[in-house]
Amino acid sequence: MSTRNRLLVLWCAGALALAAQPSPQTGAFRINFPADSPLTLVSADWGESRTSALGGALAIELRTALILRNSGVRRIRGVTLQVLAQEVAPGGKASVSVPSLDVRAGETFPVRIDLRLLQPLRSGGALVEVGLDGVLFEDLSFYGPDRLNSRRIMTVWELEARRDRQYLKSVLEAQGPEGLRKEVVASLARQGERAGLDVQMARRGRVTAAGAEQERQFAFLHVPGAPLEPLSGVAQVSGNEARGARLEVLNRSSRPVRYFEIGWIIRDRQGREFLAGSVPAAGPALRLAPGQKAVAVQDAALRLSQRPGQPVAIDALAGFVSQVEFADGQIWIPDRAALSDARLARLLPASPEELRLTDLYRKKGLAALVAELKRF
Amino acid sequence: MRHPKEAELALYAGGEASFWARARVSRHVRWCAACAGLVREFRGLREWTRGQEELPEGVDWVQLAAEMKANIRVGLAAGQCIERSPEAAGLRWWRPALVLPVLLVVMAGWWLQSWPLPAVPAAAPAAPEGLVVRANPGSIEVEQNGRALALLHPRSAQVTLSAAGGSLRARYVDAETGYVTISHVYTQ
Repeated sequence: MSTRNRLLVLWCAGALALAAQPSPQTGAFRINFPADSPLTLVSADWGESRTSALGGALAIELRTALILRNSGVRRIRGVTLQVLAQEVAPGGKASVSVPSLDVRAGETFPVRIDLRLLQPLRSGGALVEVGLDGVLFEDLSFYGPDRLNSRRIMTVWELEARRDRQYLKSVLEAQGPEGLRKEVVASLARQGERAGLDVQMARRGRVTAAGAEQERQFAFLHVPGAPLEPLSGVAQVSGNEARGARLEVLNRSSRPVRYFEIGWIIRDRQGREFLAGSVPAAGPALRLAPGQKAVAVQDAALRLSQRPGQPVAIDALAGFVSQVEFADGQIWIPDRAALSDARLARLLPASPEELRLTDLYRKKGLAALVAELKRF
Repeated sequence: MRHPKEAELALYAGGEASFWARARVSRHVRWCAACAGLVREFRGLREWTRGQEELPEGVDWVQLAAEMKANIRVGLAAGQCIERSPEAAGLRWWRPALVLPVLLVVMAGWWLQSWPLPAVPAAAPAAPEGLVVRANPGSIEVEQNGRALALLHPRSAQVTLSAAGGSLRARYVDAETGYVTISHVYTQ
């Protein structure tokens, strides 16, 4: 190959490499981890990022795989990365969490962040900033600014993981591998049968103006061992929209409570039930002493539809206590006995750990699942 | 205020509207949240439909497309041969005379579209106020005034959605990493 051809090949390779990077005119990625972070960025793969025009808007797709290293000494159980794009969605935030990890000191693991920005054609470049919101360790200690309440959320996932691993181990011990297989197959069947629900949510006001609103009372499911008892609840319902949920609870425990969530179940006119989400109650003012009552308010409006786009006509509402955080930071979640209730088992999604373990069974078989359970 | 017909919005959402219709609808949806919502729904449905299609194996679509284009060109060329006549040759000057006004209209449309719009009034009471989070096929997004930040998830993944307070979560197993991944979008 002549020198001129070599130079030409080098020029083409350089041009291709530049084209593969997100253009600073359209989108740019910045990763900001604190200097004392227990996570360090090993590499970032920016493949597949592209820009396209959609009508009068510009869509920028950024697809990246970050490789992170546990540069601390404790085992990592969960990570939450905050994603900010202030020019695109001022006030809007996003995050990506990876729970159910078991990353030892010095080990690396991948986190994928795939996102799309939509902005008017004539606006300037968009900057996406990825930062660390929190890292949860094996001993439930936490590192990070916790702007998105990652500490509580990841602690709940870790407690669910321990509960579900313990349950599957007890099944393995009591009924052997075949009993474990039956349990996992039943879980996969529940995951497959659970009706998918699409949600649109506006912070205040109504999502659409269709139809007149009616006030609907909540019915409540009793969860054994729950520290709180739901007393009453109402929400405004119109067609497939619900908003302004107000739920009153009583603290039946002997400890003060600083946060709780009420799971929200929707029944449509065909009698099908869906878990629409949860109504949280928190804030600096909330300190629910034993025997006291408090009200959780959902000021967002929800519009619900079943995939692909069929509105769910809301006929009835039900609620149950799904999690409680005490003033000392300890967290209560329903135990497996409570989840054996057929209605709850049908409605509640699998925990992240149950999802991981059943996926492991599906891809690698029973022996791999048994080996994984024995690691803990 | 006259809203575009649904058929026009659907053609616009699919990128199949004519230039002039596209300009008109584009201008309208910039400040009409209801129509912008319909356009988003059409786009979402279109993406979902595309996601459901499975191409049959063994079909070279690129070659097929090239053959179709070639056939169309052959048809057009044949049509031109039939149309050519001594009378038509004598009236060739009519073509530029017809094209020129069309070009002027197109240029005027382009100029009008580029002209800055007056300040957009506050959204009608029926429209979503402020930030909206929503699930689309393949993503969850936070949107405000036509700008959106969406976190994408694999279409093939079994995704569980849930709303908590002002946030929306999508939970799935990432087939590439093997890890459970939970993406969130927040309105606050």
